[in-house]
Amino acid sequence: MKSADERITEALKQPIEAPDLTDAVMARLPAQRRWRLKWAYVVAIPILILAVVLLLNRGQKPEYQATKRPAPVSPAPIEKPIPRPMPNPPRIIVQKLQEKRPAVRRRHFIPKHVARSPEPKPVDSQPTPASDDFTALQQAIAQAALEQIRPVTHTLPPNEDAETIERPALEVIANCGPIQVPVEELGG
Amino acid sequence: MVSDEQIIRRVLKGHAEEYRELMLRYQSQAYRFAYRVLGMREEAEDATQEAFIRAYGRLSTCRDRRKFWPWLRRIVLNLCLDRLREEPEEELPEELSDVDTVESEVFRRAELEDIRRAIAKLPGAYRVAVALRYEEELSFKEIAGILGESLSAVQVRVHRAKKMLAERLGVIRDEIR
Repeated sequence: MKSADERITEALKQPIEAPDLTDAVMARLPAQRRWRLKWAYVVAIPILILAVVLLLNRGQKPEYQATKRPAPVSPAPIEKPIPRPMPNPPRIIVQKLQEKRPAVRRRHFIPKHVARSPEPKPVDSQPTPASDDFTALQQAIAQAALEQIRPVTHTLPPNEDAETIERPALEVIANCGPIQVPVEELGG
Repeated sequence: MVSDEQIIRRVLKGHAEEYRELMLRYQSQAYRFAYRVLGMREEAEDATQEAFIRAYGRLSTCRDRRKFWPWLRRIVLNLCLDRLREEPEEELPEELSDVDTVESEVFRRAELEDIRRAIAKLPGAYRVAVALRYEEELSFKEIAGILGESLSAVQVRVHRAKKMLAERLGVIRDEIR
């Protein structure tokens, strides 16, 4: 008694009428080859033509240049612009800049042994040249103020006598001009 | 008789006509295998033609030229599987009835033509397994290697195919009665 496997094998081993496919397949194979050949021509022929043209042009190149190509013109030298010196900025701007510039604080490194040193440094009592300038300026201002002083006339009531009061120079400068001061306030 | 290897060598040298000899040797085998897998004559014919054309284009990649048929069979199978993927998948029964006891009896009584007809009606994946197992008489391990599946998966598939065949043959037998 045959098993199931044997029966299936037996059934499948039965010959089947297979159609002849050789002609159909062989007809398709040369077509592929022809197509490949066409592609070969498409690529090779333009390359050959290009190579021939390049070779021919290579021999004629000097004559062609002599007859047709214009002589090369040397380009005109380019004049470089002379750099102008930068003008000095106006003095006013410089002054303003100097005024606005914040004071730079320099942080000096002070070693610990120096910072803790018990001996105080002697104070320099000599006036610096800057303080001398300032004193001279003050004196100049005071002098100018004295020159500006004018006698101020105070009009008193009709029953009182008019007096001319000289006022201190610095007050005149501060108020930019003469001031009428009542006589009572001055104790007159 | 000229060997396959010699023919392949001559074809590769440019003697395309020699390829006809290879085709005459293997076309019926290739067609039969394609028919077992696909279950339709026209489809099998197309697949076989396509396989020979593809084989001709890739002939230089055939490493072991003494074993032309296994190489060609692989091409045929790949083409058949491509065609099977395009078809809508057939619904498979979840559980098959236990026919082990009557399986052999069913197959013994069935006509060979009925068995072939029943195989042709199997789902594609099962037809492939049956064709490789019973027509090509390959081992489960070889089938697993060809299909890229595990050994147990192939064994299960062949077993299920047999049960399905037994069921269908039983139905055919009942229909005849």
